[in-house]
Amino acid sequence: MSAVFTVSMIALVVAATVVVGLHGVRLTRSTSDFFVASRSVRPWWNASAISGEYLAAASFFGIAGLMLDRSSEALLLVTGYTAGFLVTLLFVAAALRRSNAYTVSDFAQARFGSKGVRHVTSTIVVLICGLYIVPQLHGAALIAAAVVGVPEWTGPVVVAAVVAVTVYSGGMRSITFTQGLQYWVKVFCLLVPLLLMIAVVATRDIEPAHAGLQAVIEEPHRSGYWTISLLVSVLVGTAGLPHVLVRLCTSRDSRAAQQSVALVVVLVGAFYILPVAYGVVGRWYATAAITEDRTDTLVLRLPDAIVGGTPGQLLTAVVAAGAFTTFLATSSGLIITIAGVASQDLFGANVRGFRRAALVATAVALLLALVTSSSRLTETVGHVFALSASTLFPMLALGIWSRKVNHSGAAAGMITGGVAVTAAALSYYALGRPEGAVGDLLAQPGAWSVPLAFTVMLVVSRLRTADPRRAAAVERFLAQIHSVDPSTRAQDRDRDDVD
Amino acid sequence: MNDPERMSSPRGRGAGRVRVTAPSTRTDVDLDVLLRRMDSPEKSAAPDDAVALWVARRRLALTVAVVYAVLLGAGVTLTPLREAAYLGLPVQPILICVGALALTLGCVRWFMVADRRLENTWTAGHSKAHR
Repeated sequence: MSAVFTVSMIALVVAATVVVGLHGVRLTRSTSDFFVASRSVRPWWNASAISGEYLAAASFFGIAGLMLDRSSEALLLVTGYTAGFLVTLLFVAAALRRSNAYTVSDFAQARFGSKGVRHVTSTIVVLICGLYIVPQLHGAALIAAAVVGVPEWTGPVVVAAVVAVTVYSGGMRSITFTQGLQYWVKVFCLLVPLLLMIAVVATRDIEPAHAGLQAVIEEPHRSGYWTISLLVSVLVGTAGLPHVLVRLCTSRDSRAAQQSVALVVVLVGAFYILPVAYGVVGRWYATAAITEDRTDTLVLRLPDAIVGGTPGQLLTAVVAAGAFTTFLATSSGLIITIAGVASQDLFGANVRGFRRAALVATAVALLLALVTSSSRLTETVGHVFALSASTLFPMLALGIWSRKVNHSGAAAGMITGGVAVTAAALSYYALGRPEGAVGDLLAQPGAWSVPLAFTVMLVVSRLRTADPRRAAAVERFLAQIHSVDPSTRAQDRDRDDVD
Repeated sequence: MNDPERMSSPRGRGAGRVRVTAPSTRTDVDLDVLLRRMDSPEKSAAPDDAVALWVARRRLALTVAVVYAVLLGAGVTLTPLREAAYLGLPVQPILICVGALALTLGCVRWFMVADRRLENTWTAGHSKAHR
């Protein structure tokens, strides 16, 4: 019966995604619709869409699971994931939108005047999105096996198929509609079961399975370095996530982009209270079967453990549908980002190239997910944040705020940051996840890899003599991206006239 | 920059680029000024007031970031995160999340208001200078 409920709820979510996506297709006419939804997305809807794609499997499952065995890490991540948008607002959002770029690669080429920097940026964007999408598909495999009871591969295949159809048919315009809706579906699917579980616990006087689990779970002690490094990676990494940045390019102007990011802080922060609450409830009422097995599945198994019976199974199905929505929203955002970059660099900057790139990206991501095994969702995503923090963020931050950085420095810094984080992550796993200082340095490289990337960018730029003609172009570009939008000026003038 | 709209335009590659044979004299003059500026980079720097806005924005962003980092650091150091879930108050982790969110939103509000003020001041000064 449980599987029937779950399949029905997931089918409902998939149908809603396709229907809403097809509604977007009817409005999709130009190439600009495919790439940036013709830069017409309003702040409230854009904020919902950004939150919809940003709150990935690691947020939906991972945070609640982490609250069970590593609550301090979970709370740090929640704070960092939310505050990352403050960093985006302060250093990136408005300037990126004023640059009129379609993608992060466009910005890199416009600012540094170099195709080489563009190609390095595009490669890193594809790498980050590729690494980010595989855990989403692994999450779908988890749902398929743990809740529905079908082979693991069916989950990723269904997600990939739905994403391919939506992105292929309507591009950014369709995805904006679906992702905006998906944020609210996710909130509903976590909130309703949580409220019912609390009501059941309060009214039925259920005995806690554990006294807060302190006897069962020993939290690992984390060093000061580890904590700082985690926060650096997450805070700064969020501001460099390409699938978030491309959504800022869909805003009408820079003020709308800023408003979108400000609203995202509200929506993401409000959402994170839910998985944390699941973790808190789980600490008292999760059964040993959950705590000894993968804690990632806490969100899925808690409703049945507390409510039980058919209502419990129904609530599990609702949560599973919310999880599936998460995979769809994040995966579609990542695929559209890869398609936007790859189509301009490889397939031709038009609708046909965009569609071809989307299909290839989906197929490769699916293949990767099927041939790799899933690990802890938050751990994999953690390295992606470190990679983004050490590559794209330094390029964006210095590209936007400093005139001293040139194309050689930008490319060298991004490559150094990328190589450093990748080497650290590979060494960490190859050495069997060592503990102590070495383990901390490899597991959380952000505190040293981010400053390293910034330093390399500045030093290499200083070694190269600046071309005076290029320097003037940079000066004009920086003046443009830090100026006031013409549309904002016109609005202010209109308001002054009315006053 | 690759402009997808331009590249996929029905008129083909290159459509939409600057036309040298512009119909009005004014456009020719503008193009001439632009070309001269490209040849004399020292004169083509950004206008002073634009640079002033850029510097002011950078100062504001850094100020908000430093204040937030200090407050967040203090919060992380002083809050017993590790024992948060079982110190006798079950909702303590939720309160920590709400507190962190309030701090972040406070800084967001501060930045938005200050940035708007900077823009308004700049726009007023810019209009005055060009009147």
